[in-house]
Amino acid sequence: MSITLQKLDEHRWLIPRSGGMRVPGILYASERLLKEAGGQEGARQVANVAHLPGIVRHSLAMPDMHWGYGFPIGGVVAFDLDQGIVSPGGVGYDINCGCRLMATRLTAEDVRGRLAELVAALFRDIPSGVGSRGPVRLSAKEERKVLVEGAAWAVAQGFGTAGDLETTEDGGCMAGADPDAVSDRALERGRDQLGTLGSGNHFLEIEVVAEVFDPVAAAAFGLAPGQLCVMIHSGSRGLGYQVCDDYLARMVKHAGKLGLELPDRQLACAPLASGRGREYLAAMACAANYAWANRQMLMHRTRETFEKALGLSPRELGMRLVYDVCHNIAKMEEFPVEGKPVRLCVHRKGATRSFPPGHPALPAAYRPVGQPVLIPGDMGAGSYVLAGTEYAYAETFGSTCHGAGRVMGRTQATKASRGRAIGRELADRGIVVMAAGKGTLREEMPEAYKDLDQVVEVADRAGLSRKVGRLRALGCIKG
Amino acid sequence: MTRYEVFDHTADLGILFEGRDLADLFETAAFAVFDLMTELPAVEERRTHRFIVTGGDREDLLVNFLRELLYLFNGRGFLVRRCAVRIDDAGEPETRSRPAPSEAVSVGSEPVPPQWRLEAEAAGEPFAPDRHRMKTEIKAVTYHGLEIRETTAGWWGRIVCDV
Repeated sequence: MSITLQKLDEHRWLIPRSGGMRVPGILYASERLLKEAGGQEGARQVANVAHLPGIVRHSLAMPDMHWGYGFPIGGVVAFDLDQGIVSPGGVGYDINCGCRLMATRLTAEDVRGRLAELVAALFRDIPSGVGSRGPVRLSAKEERKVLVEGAAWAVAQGFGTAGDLETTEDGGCMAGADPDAVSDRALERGRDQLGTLGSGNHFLEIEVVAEVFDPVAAAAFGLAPGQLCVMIHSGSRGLGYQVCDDYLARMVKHAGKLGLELPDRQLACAPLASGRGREYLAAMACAANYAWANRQMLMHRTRETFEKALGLSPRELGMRLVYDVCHNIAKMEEFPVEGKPVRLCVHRKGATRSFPPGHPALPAAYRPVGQPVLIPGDMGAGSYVLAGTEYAYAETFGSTCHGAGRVMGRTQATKASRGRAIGRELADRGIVVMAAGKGTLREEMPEAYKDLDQVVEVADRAGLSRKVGRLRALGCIKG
Repeated sequence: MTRYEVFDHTADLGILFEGRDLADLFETAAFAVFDLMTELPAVEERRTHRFIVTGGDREDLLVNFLRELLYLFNGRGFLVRRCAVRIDDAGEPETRSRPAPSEAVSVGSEPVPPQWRLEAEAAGEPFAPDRHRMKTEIKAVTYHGLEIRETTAGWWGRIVCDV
């Protein structure tokens, strides 16, 4: 079945209801991004999601959308709490994969000539790559605490300060976490991976604020041109993958019970009001908390490494958390539906929360300007800081894009980069990169991703979030 | 045993594989997964792991089989050089005498759907970072676009992995 897209305006495309779709789909994209989103395949996945019961208003896709398995990456969908479902595939394997931006008192000038040394120190101190182990091996009892307390556990252990929690989405802790809902396998995998970066597209990047578009919001976020920052992209590691896989297997097994015709088994789900649905949410919250504790520990190690490598006191370095966002998650949040506030279960798979100015979930300092939205680019492209909007709150369940989004497959990228020295090319542009995996640099080459500027431009023009600042990459470590 | 090829699936990795019979097809899929992850010639057969998996149909059985193999690596740090499998046909539900897997207990009095069952023996050794170079880390196998078909030459399969 071919899918016809109707152009609504410059940045919105409608997939009208047809067949078993319960609601229409809406894609946020420019003509160019739409082509890069995988054409029919991408649109079909957005339409497939619209088949799920209890879906509210629309099946949405953000400007960085690319087709994946089951739910598209960049997909946003909300479900009614009584009629709706929760789907592990709609959250993704890496539960609470997300970004964390830290600002320092330093400028790019302060590390000039010492960048290679700094990147090497980070690469040495921060475990990354396949099979890497973290600085602690958790006892069964401690691990349960991590799963319930999230980032606060890490802070209580001395990995950071209480101030870090204030600027973490949801304070770095999701309520309702029940370690009993997490399998022994998942617990085992989580035992020694806390404080590790991971592999694939996960990274830690030293960046500098290159451009400010909204000085008021930038000032509220504590960002100024020339300032040295660090962006971390990581998630819940093997524990999150195992939680997703365990519940996916169970939900596939009992899919027949729901009497649902799923267009793709990867969309397997359970009613939010069912025991299995609630159990998944309790396990997912554990993985989300693990991810927040993980990023908190990564940040702390980064702080220590900077201080040691540059011979600075904590005060001189002044590394503080600007914000931490998750971009693979399902959450209970309140949104206006037909004029009334309604609590819904919002799935964001490769999408970032974008809450408007004045929202009570924001820390006081950010409330006048909206939630910081962190959008990392491909290797070497740097990142954007945006701010949440009223439009997103009203139209996209408070959501926007999450990154550049892949445009080239991994093997395609490996082939396309044949004969090139990607690390050298980046070095020529003044960017120092170190990677644990041999093939990582090729697979993650800049051309494998959509143009970050273009994605962010569409997000800004469509009103999903507004541009605050642009950060340029200086150095990067990858798994 | 090397009859597989990869295809791109944007952020993910697709694998196409062939086998003389269904068991051979599954063995090829197992080989492909570990061949993509590491340089297999460096992996020695020092130990074996035996396991049993079940599935609602052939495709489900394949996913559960590869899940188990990935867990050997991701959860236990064990690299698989070779895997031998034996598959029992699902047959008719009433003729089955096998116990359902423990997880199926939660279905209560409902009829358990026909189960495919597989016994595997995976040979390999613990991952040693100094000797084993990792290539692509395959993190999970998905149901998306999953297909197993009988062909004139034998069997053919397709799977998409999260990497």
